[in-house]
Amino acid sequence: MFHLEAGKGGIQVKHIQTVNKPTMQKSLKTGGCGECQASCQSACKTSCTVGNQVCEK
Amino acid sequence: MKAKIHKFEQNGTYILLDVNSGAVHVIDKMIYDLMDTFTGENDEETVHAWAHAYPEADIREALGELHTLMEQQELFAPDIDVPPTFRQHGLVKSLCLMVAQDCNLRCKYCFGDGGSYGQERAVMTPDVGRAAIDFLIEKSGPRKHCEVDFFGGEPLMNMKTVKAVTEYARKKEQETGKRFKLTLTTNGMLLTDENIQWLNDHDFSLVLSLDGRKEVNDAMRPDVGGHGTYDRIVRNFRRCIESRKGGNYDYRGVYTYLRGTYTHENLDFTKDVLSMHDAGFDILSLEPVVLKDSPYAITEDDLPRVYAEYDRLVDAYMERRRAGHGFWFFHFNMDLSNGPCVAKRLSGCGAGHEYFAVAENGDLYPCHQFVGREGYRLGSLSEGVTRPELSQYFRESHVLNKEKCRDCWARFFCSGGCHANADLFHGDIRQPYEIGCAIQKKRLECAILVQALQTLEANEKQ
Ligand code: SF4
Ligand code: SF4
Repeated sequence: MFHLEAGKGGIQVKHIQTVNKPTMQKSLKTGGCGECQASCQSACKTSCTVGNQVCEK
Repeated sequence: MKAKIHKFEQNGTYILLDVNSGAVHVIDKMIYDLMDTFTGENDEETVHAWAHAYPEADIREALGELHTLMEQQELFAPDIDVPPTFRQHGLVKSLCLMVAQDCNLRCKYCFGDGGSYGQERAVMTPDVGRAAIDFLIEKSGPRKHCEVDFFGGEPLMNMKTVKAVTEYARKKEQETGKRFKLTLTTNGMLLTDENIQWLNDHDFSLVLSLDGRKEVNDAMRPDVGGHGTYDRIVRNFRRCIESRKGGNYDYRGVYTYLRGTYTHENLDFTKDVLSMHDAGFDILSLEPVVLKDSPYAITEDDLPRVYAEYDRLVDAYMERRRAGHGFWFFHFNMDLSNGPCVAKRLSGCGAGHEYFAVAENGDLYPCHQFVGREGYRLGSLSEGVTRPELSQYFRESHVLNKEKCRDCWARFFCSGGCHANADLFHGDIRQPYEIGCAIQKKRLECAILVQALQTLEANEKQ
């Protein structure tokens, strides 16, 4: 459904190529165990934004 | 209006993010255009609006694909409200111990005033540190994994307390079944062989501070006497990394990573990231400085340059990965399929409810950046949390309760930004700091793009 176009760096697809199998909606029910890492996003710290984290389950 | 989708084009690739499901789609230019009009239920209007640009049959075919995504809840997924899994009250799981409110460097952008946080230079006693562990054990309730970050100033200036607290925490693990993940953030000046060995033996994750190129680092991170520090620090960091090779260290478990700060003075910071990689380090992070009224501050006028620089960084990052010698860049890591749950996305950094900082004297603050800030003392180790209402206010200051965040497409990735910065600029933790938001959103686009490229390139190889 797609090819890499050399030089331009961009990926060309025909219409749509879905990249992931998201779990956010499901996690409305299953999440919240709280065992994951804290995630300060300020410069002086480990600086990881929540979006950059993984679920520990 | 609440953003339901976000689309962007970067380096020739078109991306569509479905905000409420987290689905990421690489799309073509036509879909990109159609999404200006398409709301999920106005096919005819969309066909009409774009008939001048695309053949009708193509538009209809594309709309068919979009409807399929909607059926799979990967486009226009339902709005997310606070789920029952988001506990009403936070359980503390993470503490930052200001073991030394003193420092052996004088970084020009330091928010802690050379480590002192506007107070007397002082160090934490082992007793205060041990009391912090007890506090954490009590407040974390049933939660098994807890975190303790040794911070400062420069924590290695107070190894006595670091050691005493570590010993105590390890003993308490046996007794309570808790697991403490220990992290230490250091500028590297005191990273002697002896200290390295001890930190390795005790499974410490390390966050090592360096600002990239020698000239950049030395201009920003001089020692007390005003001398450059790059050579000394890099020598120590290399020995440290070398000693950890082959051990059980990765970027998630016990990690060692290099972090830096960029300022108005080095908006060409791709060079700094690459310089750290070239110097032999490959788990990296570089963050924008946050300062008010300072010549080093990043201003609104800087933003176009900052954006262009992130584009360059993405190119360099992908180029090195494709050539087989890539590096980790923290903000480009994103697990699009197994990311955090919604409860976590609402908790954000947890400051003030899941995460506290303990000042040298045992006072409690919402986080390390709030230490010493007027009006933010939450209590102390001996009295406990004396201002539960303030803690609760932090808990409830999540993206769905903040006006700007509620409508922002980045809400479930960013989780509402840094409260300390919001307070610094607006005196209100519910009013995010605009430049932080702008850079955050650009970085998230880059991360999404990087993940999309990696996935599709891997698929193509197969
Ligand atoms: S802090 Fe800024 S970027 Fe983050 S969700 Fe709120 S408005 Fe969006
Ligand atoms: S308020 Fe800011 S500095 Fe404090 S923990 Fe949260 S993100 Fe980090």
